[in-house]
Amino acid sequence: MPEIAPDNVHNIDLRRMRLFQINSALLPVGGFSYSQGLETAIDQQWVHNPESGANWIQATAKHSLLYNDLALLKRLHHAFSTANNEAVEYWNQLSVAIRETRELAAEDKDTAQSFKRVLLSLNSKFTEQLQTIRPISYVTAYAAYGVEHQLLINECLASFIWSWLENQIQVLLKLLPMGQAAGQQLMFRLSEDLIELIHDAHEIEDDQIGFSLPGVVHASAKHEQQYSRLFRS
Amino acid sequence: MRVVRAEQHQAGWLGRVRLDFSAANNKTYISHRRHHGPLLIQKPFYPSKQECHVYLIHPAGGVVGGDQLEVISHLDENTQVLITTPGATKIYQHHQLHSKLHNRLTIAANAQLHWLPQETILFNEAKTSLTTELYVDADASFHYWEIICLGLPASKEKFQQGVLKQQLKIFKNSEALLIENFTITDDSLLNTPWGLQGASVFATYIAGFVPTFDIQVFCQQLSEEENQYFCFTLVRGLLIGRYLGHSAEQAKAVFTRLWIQLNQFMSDTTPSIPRIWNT
Repeated sequence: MPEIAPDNVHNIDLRRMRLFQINSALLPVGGFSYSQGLETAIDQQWVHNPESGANWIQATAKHSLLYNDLALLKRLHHAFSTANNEAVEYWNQLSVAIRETRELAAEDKDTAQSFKRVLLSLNSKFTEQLQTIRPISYVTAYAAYGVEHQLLINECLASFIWSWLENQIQVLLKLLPMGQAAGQQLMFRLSEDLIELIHDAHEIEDDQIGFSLPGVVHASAKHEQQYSRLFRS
Repeated sequence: MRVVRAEQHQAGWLGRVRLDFSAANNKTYISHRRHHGPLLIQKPFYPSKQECHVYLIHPAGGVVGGDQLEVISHLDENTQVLITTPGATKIYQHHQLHSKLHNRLTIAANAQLHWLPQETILFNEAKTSLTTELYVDADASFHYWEIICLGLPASKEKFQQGVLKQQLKIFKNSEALLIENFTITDDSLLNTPWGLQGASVFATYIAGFVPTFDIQVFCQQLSEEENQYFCFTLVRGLLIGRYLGHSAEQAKAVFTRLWIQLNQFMSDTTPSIPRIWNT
């Protein structure tokens, strides 16, 4: 096995650190404020225990996250890697257009704005592009960070899935009688189940992007008028 | 009514209608029309001076696997058009072949399209793709709905398997504004809470462009039961209503009320209900 030059070791370690940073709980994008309809699903008692919570998360990951954010992240990562501005604009616009309710659109817009501010404060090499794209979608900012720090597409996908999963599980922890340990068990188990999405994300065709789950969309629209709520979506 | 010679190609019926509208002296007229196969329109009605009502007719009586029906329509500036169907569109089972229904509608500045077809019924084991593309000028307006029934209402024949690929694309000044796909290939989305929640009828109503509208006031007019089945949102200038329930009549009734109120709100006019809906 060839020896790795010290430069590369440094580089690999730094890449790893950059990957951790994108998932840091300190990253001020406010991901923890959103439930994406899960709060309504719990309010309606469609989700009422860890098991039904796991089913909801798995299904929305498989039918919605995969065909939307993950498929777009793959395309935007490629577009930034190849400095294809036109493609960045195109996929960003599509990512804005697939948000079906006011709250889902606001979540995407607000988290993207916050993420963009972080990137600008880090003197991103994509500063100019990030400032011209309006409105910018969250996956677009995510892809820009990934490409700038030489994160591979599968690393970006894994990390995106992981933080989405963590967000969804914290919704369960806050709204269901469920302990921290149960949350960790669920995270451990679902990480394993959702890992296949990393590979599936490469198989989605352009025309399939924008998959809309009727029950989730209803939950999200109903959430806008839910009387008592902890989350912003 | 002039029935155009129906042509059947190997795999199924090929029906195409091309309809362009223009306006002169404050009146909308059909400036171009071409039919191919079993899809045609009747002479337009004018319930008022401005409104032009057109009935889209599919004389074959139903759609089977292999059929392809296409509607391409363009509304010139200042036109005002309502397009509906005299009855439900029925899509029958086929062991193998898919049918395709495709609508491509473009709306120029200051034009108004009301695309309000009656419901589409998917029989058990039907396989179909339903695509609608709307290209809307930022100064145009539109009202669109699509009502899908899975199986026949009030009958024991439920839609248990089949294929539906539903696609809606709305562009504003050629930029994507709303892209939505929904696909049924097995029963995994029929009864689950994230899917159709057991609904045998699901429907979407969209109006654009609506800068503001008090949805709560509209929801207060609905019964408790109606409030369960319907939800509403306002996103990117689109007022979107959705229905997950069991009655195409209920979906149409509530959406019609919303349609009337939105027209009053957006253009200070009360639209005429198509006469054919009452028959």
